[in-house]
Parts: sequence; C-alpha cells; structure tokens
Amino acid sequence: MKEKAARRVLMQAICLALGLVILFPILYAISVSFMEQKDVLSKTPHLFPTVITLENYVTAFTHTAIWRYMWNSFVVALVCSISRIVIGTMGAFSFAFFDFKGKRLLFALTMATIMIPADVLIVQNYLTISHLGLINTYVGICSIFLVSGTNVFLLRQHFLSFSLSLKEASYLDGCRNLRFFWYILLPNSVPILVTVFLSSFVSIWNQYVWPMLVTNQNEMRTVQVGITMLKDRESSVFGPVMAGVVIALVPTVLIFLIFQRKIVSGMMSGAVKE
Amino acid sequence: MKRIGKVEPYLWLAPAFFLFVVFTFYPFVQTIYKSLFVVDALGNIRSFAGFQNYTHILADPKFIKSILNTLYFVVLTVPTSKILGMILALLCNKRRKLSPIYEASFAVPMAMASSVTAMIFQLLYVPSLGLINGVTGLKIQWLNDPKIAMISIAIIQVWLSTGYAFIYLLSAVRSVPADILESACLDGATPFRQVISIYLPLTSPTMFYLVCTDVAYSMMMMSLINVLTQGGPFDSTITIMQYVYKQFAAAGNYTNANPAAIIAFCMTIIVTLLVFRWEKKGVFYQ
Repeated sequence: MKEKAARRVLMQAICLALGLVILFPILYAISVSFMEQKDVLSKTPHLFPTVITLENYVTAFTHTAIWRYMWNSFVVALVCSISRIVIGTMGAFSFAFFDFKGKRLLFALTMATIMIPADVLIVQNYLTISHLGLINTYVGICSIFLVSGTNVFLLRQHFLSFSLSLKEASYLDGCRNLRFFWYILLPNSVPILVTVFLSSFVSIWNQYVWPMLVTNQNEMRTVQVGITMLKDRESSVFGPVMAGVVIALVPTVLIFLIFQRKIVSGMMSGAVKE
Repeated sequence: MKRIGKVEPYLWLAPAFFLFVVFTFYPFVQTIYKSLFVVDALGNIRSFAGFQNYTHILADPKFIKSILNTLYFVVLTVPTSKILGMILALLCNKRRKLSPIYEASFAVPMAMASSVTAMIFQLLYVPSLGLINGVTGLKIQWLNDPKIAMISIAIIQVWLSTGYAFIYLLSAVRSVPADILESACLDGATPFRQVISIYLPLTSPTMFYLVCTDVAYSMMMMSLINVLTQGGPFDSTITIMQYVYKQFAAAGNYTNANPAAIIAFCMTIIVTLLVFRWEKKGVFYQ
C-alpha cells in the first residue's frame, strides 16, 4: 500500500505540528530561561525573549546550589545504575545457567518484588534508613535503588537465549563459572547491559519522592528535589527556576534522544512478547 | 569442591536477595504487621489495636477524600493517555522520511522527571499572567480552584505518560500483519473500520500491559501533587500516598500511615484484578 505524495506531505506536516505541541512545555521552559524577568510574566504573554539574557543561568549557578544538586544526582544515578548491572547480571546468571533447589521459589520472589509498588514500602524503608543513621547520606538515597527485579528478569531472558552449549563447551575447555561469566557472558551481552545502564540512569536521575524523604540538608538534595526548593525561595521569580529546570532536564533528555532506540528496545523486550 | 558447586548458585543470588529482603520483603511484612498496632512517632510498636487502625482511618473524611481523589485521578489519566498514545501511533504507523523526528518528539516526555515537569506547568498555569490564561484569555485558577486542580494535575500526568504509551503502541500497530490489512482493503473497509476491527483487537495485549502498569503507577501518585498543591486546595488533590506521606513525614503518625499504605496496596491489587477481568473478555491474543 503506497501513500499518495500529497497525503504523505500532509501527514508529516500534521505529525510535526503535533510534535511541536507536545514539546511545547519544554521549549517554553528553554525560552523562559533566556528571558528577562519583565518578559516572563507580562501583560502580553511572550513566547520568545525580547532580549536574550544569560542572567538567569548566572543566578542559578551563583545563587543556588544547583551544581551540588547535579553532582548528587549524578553520583546517585551512576552508583545505582552500576549496582543494578552488577547485582542484576549476577542474579540473572544464576537463574539462567544453574539448576538448584528452590530456584522456582526464588524466581517467583524476584517477580513479586516487581509487583509490590515501592511507594507502599517507603514508610518502613524510611524508618530503616533513619534507624541506621543514613539520613542525608548517599548510601541512604541509593539504598532502595540498588537492585531492580525488572532488570534481573530482563537479563535472565537475555541470558536464556545464550546457548547452553556454549557454556558447556567453555566448561570442557576448563573455563569455570566465574571465568565464563566474566570473559564470555558479559562481553557478549554488552548491548543489553548498555540498555539497562541507560534506562536505569534516566529513571534514577528522575526520582523525586524517596530522595526528598531521606534528605533534609540542602547540600544533600538531588536535582529533582533541589529544583522544587528554588521555587519556594524565590516565589514568583521564574527565570532562574526555569534555568535550573533546563539544566536538570538536559542530561536525561539528551541521553534519551541519543540512545532512544536502545532504551526503547530494552524496555520492550522485558515487557511484551510479540 | 563439590560443596562449593552446591552453594554457588545461591552465592550469585545473594546480593540481590539481601537487598530484596531488606528493602522489599521486610518492609512489606513490617508494614502489614505494624498496621495492626498503635505505633509511636519513632515507628516503635506501642500496643495492639487490631483492625481499629483501619476503621479509624476509614472514618477520617480526609482519607476517604484521598481514596476518591486517587480513583478520580486514575480515571482521568489512564484512559486519556492510552487513547492519545493510540491516536499518535496510528498517525505514525507508516514510516516516512521525517518519522524519526516526530516519533522522538512524541516520546521525549518519557525522559522527563515529574518534579521538573511540575515546575514548568506551574509557570504555564500562573492564573493572572501565565501563558495559558494569557493566550486563551481564560481566567481559570488552574491550581487554586478545588474543582479544577485535580484536572490540571491530570493534564500534566497525561503529558508525561502519553509518550510511553505511544512508543509501545507504535510497535504494536506496526506489527499488525500486512496480509490482514490488505484483505481488509480489498473488502473496502474504511480506515475507521480498520482501526476498530483490526488495529484495536490486535494491539489489545499491548494495551492491556500499558493499562496494568499505568494503573499501578497512578494509584501511587504523589510527586506532582507534593510539588504543586500539597493536597490542597481544601484537600481537593490529596491522594492516598500524599495522605500517607503527610501522616508519617509531617506528623510522625505511623499508626495512620501503615494501614493507609496497606489500603493503597490492596486497592491497587483490586483495580488490577478488574483490569485482568477485561483481559479475559476483551484482549485478543493471536
């Protein structure tokens, strides 16, 4: 079935227009971040800055702790993503290549962790972290994100497609489990590991509720929490806040745009079998 | 050596299960157990209360309000984002030259954090001089009118979740077999007819997955509300998790927070089971 040329052009125009509508809030935030204060909330609304100014970014960088917030978010997202890969691959390796007592039960429990919403657990997890004295620490913020049942499942599915005969062959060559894991399995799974890493990084960077709960010092806030604090202090001064918003959204949106295909295919292979 | 062989698979699983136990199973069991007790402000058990804790919060009009608000939020957001996602997926079905550009722009909100998005919409929603009222000439108090506030929050959530639905539905729509479509065309089926009788049934497993995950997510909603309204005005946007959060983080009231969290969990299960009933009737597996 071929589309007629006119129709094809029209459809693309419609889709592009819709794309602009959807992107509008982001584009507007970028535009406001370059506006002077008087343009932001003026009687006649401005879509674009009359004068482009970097003032807001200067304010955001010098008067707020945004660098610190970004650094905190970066550390947390990086540590948790790496941990999810390390712990996830180890667990998935066990589920995919070993036979042992209780395997079915343990696997069912892993699936159960996906079913229990993390939000239901925050009350008790908050108590655990505060009893351990880990409020306002990276360990406290990272704690609940260090492993993801979804990732274990995804990686197991991937490892299962890895032929068992390859493992047996490497066994005959005297390759023990650890060596097989390190020298054969992981190097051959790089694409899926990249996917897991990127999607974990984006999702942890974007976390809000838990990091807010376990931090109360300004210098330990992650960027998602810190950004909402800028608003409280400078109530109607939106320029610097939008500059902060743009700074906070750039890393994940860039990662997403560059690696969209990888992230999306990884998400789907774990979810729908079609 | 043999012995190591026997424990080895457990060793590989140990780190994962250590974390599962500490941060998932233990808190889950504790929350259920403690929901039956009076608990002090440090989270320690004081005395047995049985189901009184439950009857107590269920008699709290604020909690009832939060249950109703949460369901209202789910009803507003889950179907809307799926319908919009489906429309976008159908529009994008054919691969064209500019496909990668507009597909990416439809999907980008997936990468946005709820708090950052909340900040942007807060600016758009400013009543007197904000862009939406400014351009349209409306005088809507987006976040301050108790009747409108939840809808305003729902709009943000729809914006955030449509891209996710779109990405999944696009791949589902594109995997509809070409021969079915061709024979439908030969039979003279209108595009509308094709959507109803071919695309919707054949993408229903994906739709089912999306509805399930989104229901579970939306039932737990609190981030947007915590940033924008803190449950106000007049409790019109308080959700169950926002209620839980207010109880334990602001007031140290674990006696109310635990049963409320458990009720949230049970409600999510019930709503999910209802969605599964729809799966039996309406979801079509090839």
